[in-house]
Amino acid sequence: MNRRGLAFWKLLQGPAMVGLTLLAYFWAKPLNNGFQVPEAARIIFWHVPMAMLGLLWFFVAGYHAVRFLFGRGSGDLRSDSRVSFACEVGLACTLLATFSGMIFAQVQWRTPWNWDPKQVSILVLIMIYVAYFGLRMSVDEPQLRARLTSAYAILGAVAAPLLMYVVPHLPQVQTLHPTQVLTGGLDSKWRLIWMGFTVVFLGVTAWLFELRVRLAALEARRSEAGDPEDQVVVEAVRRPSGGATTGAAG
Amino acid sequence: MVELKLDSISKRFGGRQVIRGVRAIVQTGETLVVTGRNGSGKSTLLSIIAGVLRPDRGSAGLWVDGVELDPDSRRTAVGWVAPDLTLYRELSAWENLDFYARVRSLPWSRDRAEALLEQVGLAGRGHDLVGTFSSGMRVRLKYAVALQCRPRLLILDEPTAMLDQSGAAIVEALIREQRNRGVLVLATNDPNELRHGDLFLDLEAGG
Amino acid sequence: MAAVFLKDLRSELRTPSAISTLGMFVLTTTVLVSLTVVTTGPGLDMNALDGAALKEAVRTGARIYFPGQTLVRAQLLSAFFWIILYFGALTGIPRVFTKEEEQHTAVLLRLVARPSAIFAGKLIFNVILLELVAAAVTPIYLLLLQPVIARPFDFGAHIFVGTASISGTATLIGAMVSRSGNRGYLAVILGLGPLLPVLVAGINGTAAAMQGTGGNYVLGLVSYLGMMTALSALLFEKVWRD
Repeated sequence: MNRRGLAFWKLLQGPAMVGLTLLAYFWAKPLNNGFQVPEAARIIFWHVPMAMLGLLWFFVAGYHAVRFLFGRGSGDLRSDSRVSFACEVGLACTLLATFSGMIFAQVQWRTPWNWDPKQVSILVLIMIYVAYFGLRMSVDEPQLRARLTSAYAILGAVAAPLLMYVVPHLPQVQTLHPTQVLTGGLDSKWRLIWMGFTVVFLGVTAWLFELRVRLAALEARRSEAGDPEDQVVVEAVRRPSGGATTGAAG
Repeated sequence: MVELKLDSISKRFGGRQVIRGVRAIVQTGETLVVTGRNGSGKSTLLSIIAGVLRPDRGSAGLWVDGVELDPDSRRTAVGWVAPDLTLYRELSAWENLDFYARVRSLPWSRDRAEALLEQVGLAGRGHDLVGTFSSGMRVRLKYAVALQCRPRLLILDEPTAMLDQSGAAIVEALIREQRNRGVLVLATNDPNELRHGDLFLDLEAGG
Repeated sequence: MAAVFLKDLRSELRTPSAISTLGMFVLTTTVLVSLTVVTTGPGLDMNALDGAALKEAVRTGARIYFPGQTLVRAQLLSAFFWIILYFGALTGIPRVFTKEEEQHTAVLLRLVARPSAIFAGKLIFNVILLELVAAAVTPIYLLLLQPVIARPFDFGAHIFVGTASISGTATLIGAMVSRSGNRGYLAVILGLGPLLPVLVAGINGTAAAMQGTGGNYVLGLVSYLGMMTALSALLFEKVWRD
């Protein structure tokens, strides 16, 4: 957590985003290879980083879930809230990737939804994390809820990369998504802007995550301050005839 | 030498503090009596003592000969009888005993099972399905399951509820017997049963 | 482990709970699907008659046999099979845990049994249960929907391995669901993500086996089964113990 208040990397995000957007429209030339509308190729700048970051944040959730269940401080509910915050950020990213993808699909394939394998995969991914929050809501006891949902977040983090990158590439499954655009077909300008956006979005989502963690810490402190718990001590008392009436503990 | 150490146990359920700062040390031959009206957290405390529920703060340690038992050794050291613990209805009394002995990896034989059934007054009913038992007979069988590991810690929740006079006499003998074997924790609201206690824990005392 | 398995087996034989939920669901849906879904005709059968001839055949009540099938038909029939098995498994398998919770036998089990023994015992029970259901429903499915199967061995292998994969993950999901408030529908939602790779591989694998085209996912399914079962075993203790 940052103790200096506003950090340099946070201040930089605004100008970086404006600058990259300007570069994306005025510096990068529209692409003709395979795109119906060359201008629409700029989808790469927003859609692809969002899909990647979604997966990254689900991994972060899985990491905190492993820490909660197996780590040194296992049972610490702060790790559990980190799992759920990372899932929130990841879910937001996957939803944005899906919506931006649907806009592009309308332009490119004339329909927002054509059950392309990647669309199916991301839909199932969204369902996993909606189910995660469904499971959270159905358990009241905080420790039990944390254990059940952490176990599920680990399952999700294992299934997610398979869904996103393995299932759509099975031999019998045909995807309309370009498979080689990022690795081969991009010129250096595009590659640079794309990387820039990826870094900036990583920063924005990390900031979001940090704010959630800080907010939760403040809330926990406030509820602890107003909670008289553990002030009371209930101590076993010895039978009067059996000797002293003082407490048995000590 | 058995010692049960309850150290500042607290547990909350859904925002409500059920148990706050419970402390006690019980040693071999002693009985801890837990009292408190319904909903005061008796059963919750017993679950924590048995080791199946983790407290939010504090700990319930069971020490045998100076060594603290881990959850795995507790399997064969704790006997627990409570109204909300149920045996398998679709198995016979004998099959229930057999199952619990096997999962606890206890040395087991037909003779031992018969002896236990006789001790709790169910001699000859070993082959009957638990589903056909009366509620008093089921409680007796629960005692047989709890006793099969010769428990160092015996936990009884409302021990004589549902039992007739002969059943209560069996429990009475068992409570005396436990004094030689280890520690007894007894949760009750029956004024009659308070006489067994050496230590008393009133869960309402803290308010 | 053997004790847990034998106990579950014995109690299941005396008062069927999982097998009745699972078996009845799978049987009724298979029959329902075969009754209501068109699986033949132009586009679905490569030797099917064209529109006018088909109408004539229907009018005269002539029986239409299925001398060949298209990839569409093979995939459609495969998909039905796996969807039925998936929903059956995720409604039936959690019963082994919800039953313990409902009958209040779970708490004592938590005290006296090693979590690993419970997981292993329940897992073996579930795998055998689902394999038996699959073995019972496959002939009915073959009889009612009459797919042409070019490579029967591959077809069976995919079903055998896929079924085991589903039971492994469903066992962990069942343990989770039994400990949460709502026990019914949650398993079906929770299971979809971790099991979709199995379903996709299973559907494509059995479809390829019907068509005789390339595509064998048995090895992939086996490795996924191994990975998920190991992961489930690791996570089970955390889900089971308080």
